[in-house]
Amino acid sequence: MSQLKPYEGLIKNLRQEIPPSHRREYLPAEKAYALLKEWSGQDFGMDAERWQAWAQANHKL
Amino acid sequence: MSWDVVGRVRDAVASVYDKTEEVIDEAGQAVDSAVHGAEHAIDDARKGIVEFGEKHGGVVGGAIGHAVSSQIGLAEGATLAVYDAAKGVATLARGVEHLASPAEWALHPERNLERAQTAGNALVAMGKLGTPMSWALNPQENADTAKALWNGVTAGYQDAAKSGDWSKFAGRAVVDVGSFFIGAGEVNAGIKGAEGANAAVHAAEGLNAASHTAEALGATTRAAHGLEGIEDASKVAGNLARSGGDAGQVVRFQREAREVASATEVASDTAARFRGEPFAFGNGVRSLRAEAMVAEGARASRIPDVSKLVDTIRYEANSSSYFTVEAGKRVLTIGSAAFEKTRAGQLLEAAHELAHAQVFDRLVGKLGRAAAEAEYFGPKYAFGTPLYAREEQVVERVARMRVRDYLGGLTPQQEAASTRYINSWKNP
Repeated sequence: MSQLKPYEGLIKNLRQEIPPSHRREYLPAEKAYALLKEWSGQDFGMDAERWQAWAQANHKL
Repeated sequence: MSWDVVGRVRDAVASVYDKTEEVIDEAGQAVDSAVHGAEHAIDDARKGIVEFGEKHGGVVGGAIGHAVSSQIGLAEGATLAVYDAAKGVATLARGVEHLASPAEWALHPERNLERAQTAGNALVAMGKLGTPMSWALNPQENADTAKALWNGVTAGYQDAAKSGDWSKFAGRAVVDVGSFFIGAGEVNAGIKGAEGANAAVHAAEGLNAASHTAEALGATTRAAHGLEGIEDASKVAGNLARSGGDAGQVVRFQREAREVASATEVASDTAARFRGEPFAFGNGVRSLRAEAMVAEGARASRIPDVSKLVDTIRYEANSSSYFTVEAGKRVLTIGSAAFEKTRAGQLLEAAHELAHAQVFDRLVGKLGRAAAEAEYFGPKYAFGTPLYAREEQVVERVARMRVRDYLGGLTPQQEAASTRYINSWKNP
């Protein structure tokens, strides 16, 4: 799917790769970070690469 | 092969092309002259019928004379429209045919660039005309384009209209509109239809002929955006030319030239640079392909009129697909990732976004436009919320079911990819 999967969308938002014009997909980076923590139980701070690595290792992407 | 030999071959091929073009031009002029001579003869005969009716039958006789004359005009207009359409296709075919040949590219690069630009621009412009949303968004641009195209394509209509010969105009409209829906091979049926009582109704549609024509040409238009597309178009053109007597010579010469070019590898790099995109929904610029994708997604979703759900369809690079509302316009964006997919995958993507558009439409029906927009794009439905997750699952299931039914099934891989997406939103 090229529609955004949950972690894919959050990590993109953490990187601010989704522009605000994508009104339903855009999240402020802080909100994306909060959801990542909530969903995963992990905390990699604002480090998108670490979140990416964790999500890949746990088949979330 | 030495460069001297290559040079001689190139000169010989160039000569063949030029001679062939001369022959076709002469033949075309002869046919043109004969057909339009016949047109004038028929016009004179029609005038005679009206005059005879008026002279010998008073008001009633005059009316009958006009009626008979109009019937003739209708059939005549129809015939001429078929002729003009065929002539236009043949003319384009002749030019485009050359474009597909690497040898011809090498021999006449300027000429071919001009051909490509002319054919491409015309077809692209016609494709734009076929999009109702494009009309709405760029009224002035489209009006100018329409004027130019209308003048070019419908000179025959204009002549009929200027002379006040509305029955001939009607005949042309019926054939031109009808032929794009029923196929060239059934144009004769269109002519017969034009002689019937429905002609008057169809005549009223005459003003819409350009947009109908452009819609029907959409696939060709999209195919004409790249060399690969032009080559495909030239195959179709080649078939026409083959059945056209002298024009068939072009195809033979073109094929021979292509063999020469293959041996010498002339210009093959040029052709290769235009290739490489998936074929689904044609080749060429992605904005038009995105429109084609959504149009077929709508057919799969049994949505008869996409414009009731979406105001703008567009392509966006480095993006996923999404539905949104911008400045009051409902926008369906097909992202670049969609173009990495198979046809079924692309259809699923379009059907998925159309299902979002339907959800929004229902919300508008319940709450009104402003409230629906505030709700749908507010925090309640934002990315990652339970309502967002639920909608993704529902929309994907609906899209998958629709595309599965439309295509008569999906591959296990397509089913699995869709299921993975649904599951990803079940328990993020």
